[in-house]
Amino acid sequence: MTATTTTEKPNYNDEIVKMFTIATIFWGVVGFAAGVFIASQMVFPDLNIEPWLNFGRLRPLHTSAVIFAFGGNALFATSYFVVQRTCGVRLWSDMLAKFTFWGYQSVIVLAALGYVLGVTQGKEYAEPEWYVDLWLTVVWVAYLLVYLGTVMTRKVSHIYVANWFYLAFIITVAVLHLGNNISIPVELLGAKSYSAPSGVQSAMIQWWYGHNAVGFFLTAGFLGMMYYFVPKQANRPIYSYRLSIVHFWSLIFIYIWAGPHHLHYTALPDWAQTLGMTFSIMLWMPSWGGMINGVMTLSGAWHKLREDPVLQFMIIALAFYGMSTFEGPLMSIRAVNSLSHYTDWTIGHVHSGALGWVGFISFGALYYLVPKLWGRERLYSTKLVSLHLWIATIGIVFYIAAMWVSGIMQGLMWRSYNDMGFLEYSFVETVMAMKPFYTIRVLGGLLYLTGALIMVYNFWKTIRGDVNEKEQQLLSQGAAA
Amino acid sequence: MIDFVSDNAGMIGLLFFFSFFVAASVWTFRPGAKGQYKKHAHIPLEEN
Repeated sequence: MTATTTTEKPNYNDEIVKMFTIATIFWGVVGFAAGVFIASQMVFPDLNIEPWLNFGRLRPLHTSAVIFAFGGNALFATSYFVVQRTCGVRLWSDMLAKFTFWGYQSVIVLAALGYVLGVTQGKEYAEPEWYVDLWLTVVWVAYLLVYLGTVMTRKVSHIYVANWFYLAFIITVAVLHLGNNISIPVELLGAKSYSAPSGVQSAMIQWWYGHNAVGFFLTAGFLGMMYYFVPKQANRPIYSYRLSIVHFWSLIFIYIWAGPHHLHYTALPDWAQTLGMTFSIMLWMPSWGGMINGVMTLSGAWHKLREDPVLQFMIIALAFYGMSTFEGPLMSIRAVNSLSHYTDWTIGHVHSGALGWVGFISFGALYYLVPKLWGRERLYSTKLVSLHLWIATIGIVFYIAAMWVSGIMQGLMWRSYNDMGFLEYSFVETVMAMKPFYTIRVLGGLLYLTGALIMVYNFWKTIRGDVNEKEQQLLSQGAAA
Repeated sequence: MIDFVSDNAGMIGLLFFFSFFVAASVWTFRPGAKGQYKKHAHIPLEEN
């Protein structure tokens, strides 16, 4: 091996990052469109085309497409980009990295085919049957090997905090996936299986998995993204590196216990419910610590926020992160949960986290990555980034506001009874009352999807190398003045 | 020994994890490490 000095730029594997970036954009559009379609099914029931395209089969298609296909590919792309840059070394194995790409895309396609054909374990966010679970395990171990191999051959002695978050995400998701999918296939030539644990144990394991999918897939992984791309886009170091370490350990230690709040007022013992609730409330602190750390990175350079819509994406993402991590602990309190659980409030809460935090921090990272990866000086249009930002933000506000109203109304209607002790409303009356809010939700989703399509157009032009004459002129005028 | 551990697994786990967390936090704020952390924070800004 030839001696390389630290000033020489290593030969990074950006091909694989490009592939995952394109997959992220593609699956993002698919997942958002699926969301708009199933939201429309709630308003226009005739859109339920039996049996393949009814709501029950398309709902997991939507959730898996946005969480695992869009979010997962975004995590692959950014983690492979970040680990090389912060370790000063090329990815550990090109071949294995390529395997993780095609392996992961095939997991997505296999899972999606299963959903529309009615193959499911019936576990939320863990719907794929055992054959997909086993294949994903192989792909995930390859991912861990590529990541660990790169970290272990690093040229920078300290492991930057973003890598800690990414590694915690990879390792914990592996543990969760294996723990929640222990099942026994029961057919020789079919896919059907039964979960090994049963009853309340099965439910507890499912929500240990389910909530930590939120905590480690949608939070820790994307915080890794935040800890690299916010400082990079702002060109300033993170506000407090010490806080980032305390943030990491407190988040990791607390999140893993929060799952039982999904099982309030069930057969799960009260002590376990209270434990889940207590840890959920404690989570507020690391969550806000992390949000403050990200936002305060701009301390002393707030003017950058006014000029740069990519930075605006990242900071609004952190604002939504703060908002939904405040709402989450609130909803985990048993008394609040008795009103909110099983209602649209939960759906609204999830979407303020998913559309606001996960979506926006990913869009921010993508806007940083695309010109960089394809060697363009800048994005085709900064104005279009701004347009995407505002259309999507208005879309989220429509979505979550509609779900707050609809969810609280639904919860109140369910629990109201008359002087004789009979329920005041029949179920169908609550559904009829929610229809206007379902319509507003479709509108919100359409706006969010439109924003994403604007991003696709902007990337298409950027990658092709087109130059936006008007914006270029304005830029040179600004430079001259 | 193993009986004692299994009988008190909850308390032992709590003490272990809590003291690990406290130790990690205190270690993070040890005096004299400020310059080092400043350097670590600049890692992403040095590379392209």
